Amino acid sequence: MDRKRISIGLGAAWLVCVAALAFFLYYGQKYLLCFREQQQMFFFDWRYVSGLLAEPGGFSVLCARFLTQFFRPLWVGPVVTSLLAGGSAWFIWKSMERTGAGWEVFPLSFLAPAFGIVSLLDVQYFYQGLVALFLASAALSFYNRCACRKGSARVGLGSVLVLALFLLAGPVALLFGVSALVCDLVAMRRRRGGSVLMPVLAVSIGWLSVLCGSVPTMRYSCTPAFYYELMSPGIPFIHNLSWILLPVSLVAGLLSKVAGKRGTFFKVLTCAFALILVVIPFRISYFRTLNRDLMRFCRMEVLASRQDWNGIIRICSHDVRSLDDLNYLNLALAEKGILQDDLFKYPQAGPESLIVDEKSESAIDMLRLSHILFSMGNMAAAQSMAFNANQAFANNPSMLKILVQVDLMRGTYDVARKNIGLLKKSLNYRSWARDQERFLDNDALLEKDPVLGNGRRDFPEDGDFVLRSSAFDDLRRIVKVNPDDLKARQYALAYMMLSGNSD
Amino acid sequence: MKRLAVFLVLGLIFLSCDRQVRIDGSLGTDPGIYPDYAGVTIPSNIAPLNFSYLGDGEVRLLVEGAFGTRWIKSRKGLFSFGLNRWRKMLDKCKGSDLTLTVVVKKEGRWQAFNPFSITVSDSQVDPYLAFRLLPPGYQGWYEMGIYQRDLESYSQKAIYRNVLTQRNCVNCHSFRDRDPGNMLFHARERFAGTVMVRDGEVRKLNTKTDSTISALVYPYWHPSGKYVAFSVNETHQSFFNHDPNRIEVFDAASDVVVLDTETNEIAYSPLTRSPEAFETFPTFSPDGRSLYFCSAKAVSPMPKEYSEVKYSLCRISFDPESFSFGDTVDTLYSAPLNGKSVSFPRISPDGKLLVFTLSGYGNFSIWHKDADLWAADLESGEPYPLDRLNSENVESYHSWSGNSKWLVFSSRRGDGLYTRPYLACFGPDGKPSKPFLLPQRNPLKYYSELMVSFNIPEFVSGKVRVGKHRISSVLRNTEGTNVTVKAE
Repeated sequence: MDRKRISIGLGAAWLVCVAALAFFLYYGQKYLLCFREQQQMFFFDWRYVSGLLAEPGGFSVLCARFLTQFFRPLWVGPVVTSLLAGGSAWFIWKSMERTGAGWEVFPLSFLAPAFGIVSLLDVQYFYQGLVALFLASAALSFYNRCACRKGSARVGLGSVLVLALFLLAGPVALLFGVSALVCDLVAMRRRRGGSVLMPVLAVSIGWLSVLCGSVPTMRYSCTPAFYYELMSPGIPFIHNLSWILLPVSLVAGLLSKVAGKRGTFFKVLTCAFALILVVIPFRISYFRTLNRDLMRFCRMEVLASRQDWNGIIRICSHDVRSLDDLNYLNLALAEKGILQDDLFKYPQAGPESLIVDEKSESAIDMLRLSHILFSMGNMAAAQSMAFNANQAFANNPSMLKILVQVDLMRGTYDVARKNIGLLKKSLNYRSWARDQERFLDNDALLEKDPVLGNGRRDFPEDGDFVLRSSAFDDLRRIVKVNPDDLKARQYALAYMMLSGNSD
Repeated sequence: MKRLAVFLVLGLIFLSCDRQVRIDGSLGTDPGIYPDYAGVTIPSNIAPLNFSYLGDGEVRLLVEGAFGTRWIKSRKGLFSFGLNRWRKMLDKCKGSDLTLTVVVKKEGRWQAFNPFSITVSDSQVDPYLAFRLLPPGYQGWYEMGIYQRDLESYSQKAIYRNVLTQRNCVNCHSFRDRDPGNMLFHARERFAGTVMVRDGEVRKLNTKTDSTISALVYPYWHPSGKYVAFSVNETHQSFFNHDPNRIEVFDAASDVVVLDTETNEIAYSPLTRSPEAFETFPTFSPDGRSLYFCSAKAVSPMPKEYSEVKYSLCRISFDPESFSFGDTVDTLYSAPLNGKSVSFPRISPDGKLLVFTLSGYGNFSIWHKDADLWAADLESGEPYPLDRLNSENVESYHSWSGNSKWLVFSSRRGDGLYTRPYLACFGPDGKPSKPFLLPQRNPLKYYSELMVSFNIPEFVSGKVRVGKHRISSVLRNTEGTNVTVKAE
């Protein structure tokens, strides 16, 4: 086959793989990716941008947050993610090609990006991990493209790329350094021994960044742990695989040197074998890493944050899996004003069907609890919970919205103004925040608003603490002080029905 | 090249002329500015007090003083003094006033607001301010850190950030007599321990013992550096349903103890560890011979009776040579008699004034809107409110400069939630001047967008040089030294 036909064929194969990946992600991971829009926020603000850029790897964080803000439509996350992974694969392939690999090992270029996607199944693994892999692959491709230079110039270029990558994308610079060394060894380039300098430089920069106090330890400055939630004591091994498999796939390019000496049939066999090497481990790892409870939570949370109550009811009408599901279902029914009527159309499990683990300090639980407490009219508890959840996620737009609303209800307008100012710097919540500005310092208008006015009347006139005994004790006081709050009243009646208590 | 230089000089002359305007009349009103720096007294080494005019239109600022006059053109309402020019200006104006006049263009005419003055004190303030930046949290946080701000410029650097130790809580930083080489702070949850820096050496202490109710909490260094007084507290936090204070932090039990930093032993007096009382917020006198603390009659059940807990200000003698306490406790401010509660007693280094926070009840005055700063002349013992420092909102934590002239305190007066540091000058009569907000390059933008509180502002006499990595290594990699209780 001539080179042109091979290139066209590989381009077509790449397109098919990326499209297949996008469909796979859409059907399997769309809510999880959509939740990333809630998990990280991008602000159009120079201080925010410059603050991130000043940190090692800040550019990848910035890119990740910029991209995830577009993930609100369900199809965008899968498409962008498959393009990023596909882009990485293409750049890896270009590097493999430069080291003498033939078309028959093309599927191996997807090995590392595929595991990058597996990592995204864990919400504690940040999206910047995939962005960093993309940047490292692009740098590697560029390095290999320029690899015809003299040995010292090549290593010089590689060293510059290592430094730039560390600043822009963090420890992925080491992955690049190791991969570049592997490429030089596989391609038997001149003065390849000098290429050891690149990984050594990456480790040295990492060590310096630790000494400067920019990165906690060498584990963070040299491994994918950098892209994992810092609060976690350890990172699951699966997240290291995309890094391990990138140099491995480059070495595996040697296979084609063996295959190249045989006929086309053997090449096709090698290609099929390479495809199996990618697909089967990916499939096994994907389904082993997949956390169905987390997927379910993300789906519910995405729908709740969009106030898509019909969506929640539709899902739960044929499939209620847990008390959390029931909490979301009953929240949706309450928001639609049919909790009292439709309560027993669905399987219920006592008062905990309305709110469970109400004092939980888990970040994920706090998101659910904030929505429910807000709907119950327990505004102070919702505020406390939303604040803590917002902190746990380092800005979550749904929680910021609750904080704005409760501060407006309380009349603490200066605080509300700050959070409105923050939301105004975001793409998706700018118009909502601008709309809330009309309530600032305008008690008369606020009290006429069905949500804010009603919420203001929900605060019990006593000096007691929220959730001191239970959410239902608080609910009694709310209904007493504001009997016109339909949602609180429905929740109170539902509680009585579910607990068999008619007091 | 010559032509370029001529153009540059002409351009500079044009720009400087452009700033100066002819004042056509007076508006007879005060200008709306942020921060309110009108009538404040400032140390002669403070960073430029940039401020914003809050109205619309084209504005200029006329600055007059012993240095001469200067016109400043605003950028989007912000008046910025250059750092070097500001320093020269303050150098020439020590002990005198700067007069500032905001001039606004209205209907084509330049009209002046009422001028206001800034008094430049002869004295300087310690060059650094250390504080913790954290969300005004109910319980959660993501990032927090202890920072140091160069008060002579706008430079701010982290002393420690919790990202280095898995986002744990770092709190209660304290310096021995404002010495940057001798400090401590606590780390909680992950990698817990007390980080003790002594003459640059960093170590970790495990401060929970079997016979104390908690790890060591609120610290205060003995002037010798050999001892540190702490409280031990069983602290709880609850969120109000409908109360302007939002949060109540209360102790269900607390005691005061003193740590010997050389032997790592703690000692206490039965009078600072009474089961009938909650003792907290210890402070040594500048001569190191007295230990001041707050004490309230123990109340239960908590939190039901939280508003019944009122702390008196007490004093017990302390003998640093024998590491022992006196036999009697003096009450300097009686909560039962006055109906108010004392927190954060702090004595000026010259030993003349004691400033404390007074609120309706409890000890966590940082969340009490009625919390105000009071002072007591230690000779007469008479307490009086520091009205010029107080506002309708919270005034709480405070600390003294080394020369006893300046006090920094935290206040929520800005927006009711986020604490900000204010500085004030104390005169020989023990009365403070009007306080001023910590200067920033663009204070309006900075403070309106900053989503964290300044916590525990403490003056420091120099830059803290111990590296973040050394601290995190000690926290992560060392077992720490166990603190023990001194045998009776």
